[in-house]
Amino acid sequence: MTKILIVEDDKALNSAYQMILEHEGYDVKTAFDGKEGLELAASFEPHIILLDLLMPTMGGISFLEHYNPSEKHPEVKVIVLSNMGDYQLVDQARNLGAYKYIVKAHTSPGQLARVINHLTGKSTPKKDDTP
Amino acid sequence: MFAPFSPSSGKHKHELTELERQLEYTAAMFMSLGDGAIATNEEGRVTRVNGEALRILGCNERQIVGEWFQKVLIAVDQHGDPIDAMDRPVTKALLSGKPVSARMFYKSRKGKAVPVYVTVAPIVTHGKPIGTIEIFRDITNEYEIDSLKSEFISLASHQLRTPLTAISTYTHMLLQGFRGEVEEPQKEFLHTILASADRMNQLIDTLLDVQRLESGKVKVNLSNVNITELLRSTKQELWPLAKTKSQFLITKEPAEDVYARTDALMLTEVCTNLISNAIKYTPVAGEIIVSLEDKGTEVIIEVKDTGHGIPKELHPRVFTKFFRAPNILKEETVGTGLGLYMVKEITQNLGGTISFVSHENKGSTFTVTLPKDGTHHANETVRII
Repeated sequence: MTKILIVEDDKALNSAYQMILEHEGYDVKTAFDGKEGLELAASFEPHIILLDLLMPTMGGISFLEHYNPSEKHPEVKVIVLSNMGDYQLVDQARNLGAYKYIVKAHTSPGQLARVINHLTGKSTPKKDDTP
Repeated sequence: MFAPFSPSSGKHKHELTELERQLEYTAAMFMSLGDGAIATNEEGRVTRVNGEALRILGCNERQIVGEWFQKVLIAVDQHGDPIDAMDRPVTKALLSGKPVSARMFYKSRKGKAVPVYVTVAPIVTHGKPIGTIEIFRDITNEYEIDSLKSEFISLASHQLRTPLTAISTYTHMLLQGFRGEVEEPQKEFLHTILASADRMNQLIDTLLDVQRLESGKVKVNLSNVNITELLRSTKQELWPLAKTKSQFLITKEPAEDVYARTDALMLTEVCTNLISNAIKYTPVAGEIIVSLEDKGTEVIIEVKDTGHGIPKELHPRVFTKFFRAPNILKEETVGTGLGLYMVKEITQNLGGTISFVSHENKGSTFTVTLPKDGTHHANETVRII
């Protein structure tokens, strides 16, 4: 089963993403900052990581510097969760090996599921209102 | 007949002393200016420089006087890229014969980039520019405050956006049945929550856009753009909005497609703002005409409506931040008053100009003029940082 790690400090959003992706049939684990994310990534060995950028203790950029997806984990796809105001961080994340970025505020649950399903090769729901 | 010039002759000696005194006074005045001051001749070679300019630039008079301004006054933009001689206020002032202002960075001899506000005026005699006088001010403090303000807006927007994203995500999830089937009347409320969250998100987007424009973080990406096509697709996108008000949205374009070297995304933003404003502020069954003209070196885009118009006394404020005309507020309460401000800022970034004509209860016409080759024109004020 495809394993997804969510690294997002906002509890409400973290939990929503977990529900959406579990609903799609993925094995999901959650972390609330970069440090916790790194520890979980080592033990859980996810295929996909959803990574917020602005987090306490250790942010997304620092996470990427340590995790080093380009060289150490080329098979893992890191998707950055952006908040629109942080373009410079998104560019930095891309240079550090992030695969894609999505703007959280503009991404509905259906769209998030579609992006992940597309990456994993699962069939994609046609309508936004399909859970 | 001319009298032979003799410095020792009494009258001439007296006149010379007076002239010398005046020259000395002018020189002292120039040197004592609190801001940096640099004079050039018509070729752009530095003829005079004052103490404050030398302090900011970290050099001495010998290193500057007699040299071409572009060689000794190294100007860069906020990305650290050198500013082309043609885009420098000195050149623009000489070419246009008008004063030109800009914000930019001067590189000191030690390599430090100092933010400065520059105003260059041509020195004109007998109707012909014979040089320029440049006054510039070290705006490090203002620049730092501005950066802090931008950082604050960015952070505040992030803090606002996260809970808002949670609100819309959970509302979507409820609508999608994550917690069981939702009845129609409940769905209606949930859609209202979503619409409000969307509006709030749009407001934050606009604030962030304004902040990015003002901080100079937006870089113009020039490419060969089919303006005819760009206008058609913008119209297509806004057509449903006009349809809800039974308005006529008409496009007038030349037989052949018009191309210009510009930034497609930025120009789309300008056109979308102008056309959606026209739709919003034109009553039901009104008419909006979007026309495109090829003027050789320039492209002219005009958006004309039969809307409410802007009261004459408010015309000077139209492009200022948060401007909303009272006659509009009565009709339409939703809006940030940032749209036209952004349109003007973007148009200037594209090297173009914007103007308008408006009559209350008759309508408005907004005209955007863009250079076809993407170069900046000699505007009165050019913002570089």
